[in-house]
Amino acid sequence: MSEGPKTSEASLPGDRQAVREVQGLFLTHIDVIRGFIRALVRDSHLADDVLQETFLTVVRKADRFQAGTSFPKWACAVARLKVLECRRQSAGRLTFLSEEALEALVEDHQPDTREEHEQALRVVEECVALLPPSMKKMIDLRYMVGRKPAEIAGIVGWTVEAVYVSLSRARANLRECIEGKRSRLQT
Amino acid sequence: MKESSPERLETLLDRYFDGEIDAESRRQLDAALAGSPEARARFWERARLEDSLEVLGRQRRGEAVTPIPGPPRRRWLAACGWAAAAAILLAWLAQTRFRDAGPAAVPALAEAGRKEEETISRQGYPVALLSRLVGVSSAERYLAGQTLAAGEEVAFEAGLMEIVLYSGATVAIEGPARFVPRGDLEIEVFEGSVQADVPESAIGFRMLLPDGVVTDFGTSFDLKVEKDRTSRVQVLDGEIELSSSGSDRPAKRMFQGDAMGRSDSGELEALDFLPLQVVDSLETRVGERTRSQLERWAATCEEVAADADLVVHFSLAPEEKGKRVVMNRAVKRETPRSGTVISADWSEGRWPGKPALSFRRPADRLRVDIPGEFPAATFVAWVRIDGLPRQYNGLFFSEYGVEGEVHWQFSSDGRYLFGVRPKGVEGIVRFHRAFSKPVISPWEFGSWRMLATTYDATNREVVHFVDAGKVSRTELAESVPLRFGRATLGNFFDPLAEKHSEDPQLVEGWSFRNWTGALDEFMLFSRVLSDGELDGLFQAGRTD
Repeated sequence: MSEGPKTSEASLPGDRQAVREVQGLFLTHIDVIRGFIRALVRDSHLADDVLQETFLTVVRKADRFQAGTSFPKWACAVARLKVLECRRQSAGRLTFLSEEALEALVEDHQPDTREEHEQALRVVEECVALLPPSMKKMIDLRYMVGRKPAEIAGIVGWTVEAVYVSLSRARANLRECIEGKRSRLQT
Repeated sequence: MKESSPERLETLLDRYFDGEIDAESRRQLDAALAGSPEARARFWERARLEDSLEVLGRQRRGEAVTPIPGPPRRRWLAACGWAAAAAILLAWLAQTRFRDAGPAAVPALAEAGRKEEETISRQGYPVALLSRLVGVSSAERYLAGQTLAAGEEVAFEAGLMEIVLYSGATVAIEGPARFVPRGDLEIEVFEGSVQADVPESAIGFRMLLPDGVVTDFGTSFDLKVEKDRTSRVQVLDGEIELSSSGSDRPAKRMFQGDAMGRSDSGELEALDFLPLQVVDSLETRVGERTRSQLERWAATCEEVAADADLVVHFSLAPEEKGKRVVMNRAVKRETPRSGTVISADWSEGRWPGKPALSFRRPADRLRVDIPGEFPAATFVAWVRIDGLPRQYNGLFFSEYGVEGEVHWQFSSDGRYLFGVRPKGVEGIVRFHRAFSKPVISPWEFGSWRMLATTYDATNREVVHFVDAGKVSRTELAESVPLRFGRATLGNFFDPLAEKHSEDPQLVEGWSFRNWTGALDEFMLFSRVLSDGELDGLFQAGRTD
């Protein structure tokens, strides 16, 4: 048809309804999408950039999203490309995994639903509260105060190695607690 | 083999997620992940934990990394619909796109979200201080001490205002008046009698008029604009230049004692020199008003003193200025008889001659021991908020740790943070909270406000007021009668020294909670004051 769309895909405004819907879905699932990106992009500012790029692409391609299919899956598939792009652009950055490892990980990834994500958050919060005080202090310094292990070593007067060991034990303890709670939830 | 043991994988994951992995370890991790489904499952499990801990940490620090932070804003997003939410996200994207190097993005985002959420912030950038006003009647409320934005129209029917532009030019205006500050060296006047005093730092100051422009070369002129016409311009001191819009005639230079006006036909003609005396009438009226307001306030103090439910009243009377011990004017009660000023300096209060206590340093505080239990209470404080630089900006705190402990403070973004210790719990715990939306913005810093909060344990209701206007109402989860004990005004005292070594969250933001500004008066009642009573206190204490 001669009246058909001639513009390139990128400049198509797309169905406004679809755009609005996809924006809403993105906001609903943003925690899950960000979690996916953060796992693969350890630099938090780069991760922000990837999240933004993902959002813009998802909106641009809003009409491609099929209602009834999993939005987080679709968005994470878009995010995967953005992560790979980001990795290529930041060549030499030690913090990125190899492309092979990344692809294998993405292949196995199952995005949580929003409910699962929030449930997981609650469980972790409960488990942190149950930690012995010395471990809780390590977790608080690392995540609640947001300090790096080397800084923590300075604060508590330990060696960095000792901080690593202590954090590692605290995480193992959390893991055990989370698994315990999860198995109880399932029964 | 050790290299592929689960312990080694854990170590590698630790290093990876801590962002401190070296090249060799990363090669090992890559190999493990590429080759083993178990390792990948472990990776994702670990990633989930890492993400949860990060999210919890951000929530705890009150940061928002994406535009959907904690529950309150989510409710708001839901209420406003996704379109608005998407707009915020887009605004955030636009903002972070242009960030310079990174870390600024985090607070910037919180700011962006907040601006969308609240309407108390104004557009524009600050260019002037509204230094004094008297008898102003206007549709919008103006506060002495507030900041004016470039491009912000100010209009009033009657009364006088004085504004100080950031160049140092001072402009006094008598109503009916309408003007817009355009910059630190420029003001547009549509109506009103105006006197401008222009010091050396503001030479070149311009006043835009409906029919021309005055440029001041120092030091003082006055003029009157009525019905879109400059009926009079005269030089009180120094030299100005008057140009006419729509005319190619050269601008007129005018010197001290010169007076001109535009006739109905628009022609400039010489007039007799008759100063408008705008500043003189401002001074006179401010003086008169100060006397009458101080009298009215003193009379109200006497009335309030007769109230059997008044527990504490620090009026900070003129004769107390400079003293270390200030009297409790609640004479119906035996205790407390007084409070003690620690470190806080005495300064000028709401009116010339009325003192106030300044708080800005960590030690600045007023201590008072208030015995008893209070199922209901009303807190009233006349304060000048000069800034909210602290995480918690303290107004009034019970003795730390007592049953029925109360915290009355402000957040850095201008919210009331009111908290009551839950029954039967000790130490550092989450309080029952009654927070308001932001009610104070930097535009009003420097002005005197009456902050008040009522508390009723019977219906568990907390209501916050600013200048006797209700700004928030919260129902707490538990009915707790308040206790104050050795209370602190304008600051916070947390005696749990040993907790600091146990809990790394108790950093300076927790311990340093001094008020930044001044306290002119404090009242504590053992009942819930009615809206009318609060309004009475406000009317008696207001300065405009």
